[in-house]
Amino acid sequence: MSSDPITPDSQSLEASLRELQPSVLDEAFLSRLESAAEDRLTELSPAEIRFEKSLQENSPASLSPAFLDSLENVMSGIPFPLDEKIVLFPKAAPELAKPTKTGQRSLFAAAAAVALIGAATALLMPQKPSAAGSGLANTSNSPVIAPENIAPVTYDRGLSEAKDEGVIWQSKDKPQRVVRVVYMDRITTKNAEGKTVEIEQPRVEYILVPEKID
Amino acid sequence: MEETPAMANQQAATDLSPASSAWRAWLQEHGPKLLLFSRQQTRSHEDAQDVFQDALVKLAEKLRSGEFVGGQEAWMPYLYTAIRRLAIDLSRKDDRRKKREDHVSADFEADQRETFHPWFEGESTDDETRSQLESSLKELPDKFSEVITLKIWGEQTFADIGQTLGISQNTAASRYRYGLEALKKQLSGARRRGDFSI
Repeated sequence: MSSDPITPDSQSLEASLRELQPSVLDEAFLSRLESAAEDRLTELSPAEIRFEKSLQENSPASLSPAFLDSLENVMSGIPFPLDEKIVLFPKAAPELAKPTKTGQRSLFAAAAAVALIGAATALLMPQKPSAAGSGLANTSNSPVIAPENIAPVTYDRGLSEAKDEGVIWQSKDKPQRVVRVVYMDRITTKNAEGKTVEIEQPRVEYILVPEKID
Repeated sequence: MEETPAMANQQAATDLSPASSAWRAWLQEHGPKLLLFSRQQTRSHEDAQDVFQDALVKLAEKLRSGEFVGGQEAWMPYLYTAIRRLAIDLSRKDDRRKKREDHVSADFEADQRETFHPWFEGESTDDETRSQLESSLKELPDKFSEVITLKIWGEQTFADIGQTLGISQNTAASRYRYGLEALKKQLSGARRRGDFSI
């Protein structure tokens, strides 16, 4: 296929077009280009800053309570990182779980040691009689006031779980790590027929461990 | 602190954890800015709330899965970007739907509802001023009003705004300054007409 020849009409059109010149840039645009070249485009003038401040006096409307609740539900169960080192955790479900395996061995060891000391102390020290209905607050081997035909035989308490619940700030400069500790109280009883019944009841305590901050 | 298992069960159902309180406080502080941007990007208050909530769900999913890159300071830029994309998607769906259906009356009702959901509240300015500001922002071209909303009330930098809108920092700054000038002219015009005092 041969290319289109340049006709005399095309040539005169071309000549007419060459006579046209692009419009001169307006001052505002020139100024903008200069500012961009000198990296000053992001600097606002005093008048612009004043106008900006006057607009900022109008605050965005607050969220309605219902909408805020629905947004909060979206984020439920998600930890909130305060910074690189501190993370707030959502409330854990009250079920027993395997002890967590983390690298913070020394921290859990400290908390577990405190819990064990507490458990041992509770075993060795006499305790006040419990309110009616709990039946398991007696931490010594002496018999409790039990329902008829049932006599407690042994009682012990063991540490079943220790879990890191995150850090709270009780005052501005006193962070404390919350450790959730689950004890398992076990009481063995014998009824009138001599049958042995074992009762287990978990008991949850929260231990506050001072957290080191830089 | 001692807690029985029964109490623990009840408390688990209510949201009293440190994380929950922190999220609520964060939403109370930043939610209004995000909702304002969402309103600027959408056609109704209801759409704005839906888009904002969907953006928050995306953030929640990324945080839950551990995929989110960056700390707390990266949440707002991410949410602004997500809101904008979701608003664009919603707008395209609405446009396709409106081509198929006649929604003239629905649009009129939507406009009526908007008067009950003002964009701004403030103690230092009156209702008329805030109303005029809202009208003026709506009349501005979107490319100006979105930059103004992000800069003034979203407290984003030009670099953040550029990332959110997919433009350069300098383009964001240009649009902002053009937009401010246009907004100032509109508000001055309203003042001359005696529509409000500023």
